[in-house]
Amino acid sequence: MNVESRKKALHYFFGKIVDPMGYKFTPDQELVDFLLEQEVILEQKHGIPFCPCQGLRHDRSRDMKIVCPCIPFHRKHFDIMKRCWCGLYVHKDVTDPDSLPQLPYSEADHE
Amino acid sequence: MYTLSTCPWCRKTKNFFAGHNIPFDYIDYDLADASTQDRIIEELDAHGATGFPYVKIDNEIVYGYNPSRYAELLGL
Amino acid sequence: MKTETGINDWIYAADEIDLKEGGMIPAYPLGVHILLARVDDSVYALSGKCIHMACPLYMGILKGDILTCPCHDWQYNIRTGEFLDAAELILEKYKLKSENGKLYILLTKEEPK
Repeated sequence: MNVESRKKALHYFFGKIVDPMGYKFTPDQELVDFLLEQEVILEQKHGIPFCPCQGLRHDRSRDMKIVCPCIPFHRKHFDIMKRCWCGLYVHKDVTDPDSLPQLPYSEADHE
Repeated sequence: MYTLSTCPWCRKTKNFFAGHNIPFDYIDYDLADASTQDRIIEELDAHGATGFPYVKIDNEIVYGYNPSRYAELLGL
Repeated sequence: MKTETGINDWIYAADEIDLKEGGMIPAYPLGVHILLARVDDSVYALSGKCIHMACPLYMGILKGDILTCPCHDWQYNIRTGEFLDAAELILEKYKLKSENGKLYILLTKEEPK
């Protein structure tokens, strides 16, 4: 499968998952395109579309918590930022994703 | 700084430093060898960091893309 | 007049004998991918595909009432279909009945004809 069609497939799969959790793809189309492409490349390499913005630990139980979309496993943190770590997904009410900072959980908690 | 080759925020971080003509060293964690990865993970874990970018300016750690904090620490 | 089995009917899914205690098998009534599982002698019928990336759940691991997907370890409560890490994500659950050692499934929420 070529990269473009796999990107479309991941977009379809993941859009259905994040919607009931109150998230949507970021309105920044360029970012969506870039991140999905990175995920397809990671999937081609590892067999799994891992998060492009968190590093693999080579520890299955930890690495499975950064398979996209990883919102269920980091929800408290992401809900405070209104975005996932990568910014691929944002809360449904977000229209200006550039205004959302990428904060460590410890700091985000006190914002 | 520790970065990932796949992460757009890591690219923005590098661009921020390059754009301000600030020299920097970086390691792309995903492209590093196993022992380097282990060392980086140990450092990230010690600071409770789970993702990238991870930037050290003098003794300060900035985890996550944060241009205003970079500017503050660099005196820009 | 010949009547055809449709989506509003009880449809044969599997033989009871093929579903062991603590076991899971796939079934494909009318081509729909279903997971059948037996826990504490109760039989459950859920969507056979993981919500995440549609991996076949019957190839996963069933431990007690926790089902783990074989692909990325997403875990579900086999009794309710709920994804353990986000309750909004639920596997479709289907009604079942057993007659003469055979399991029949209802694919819709409608009452059978």
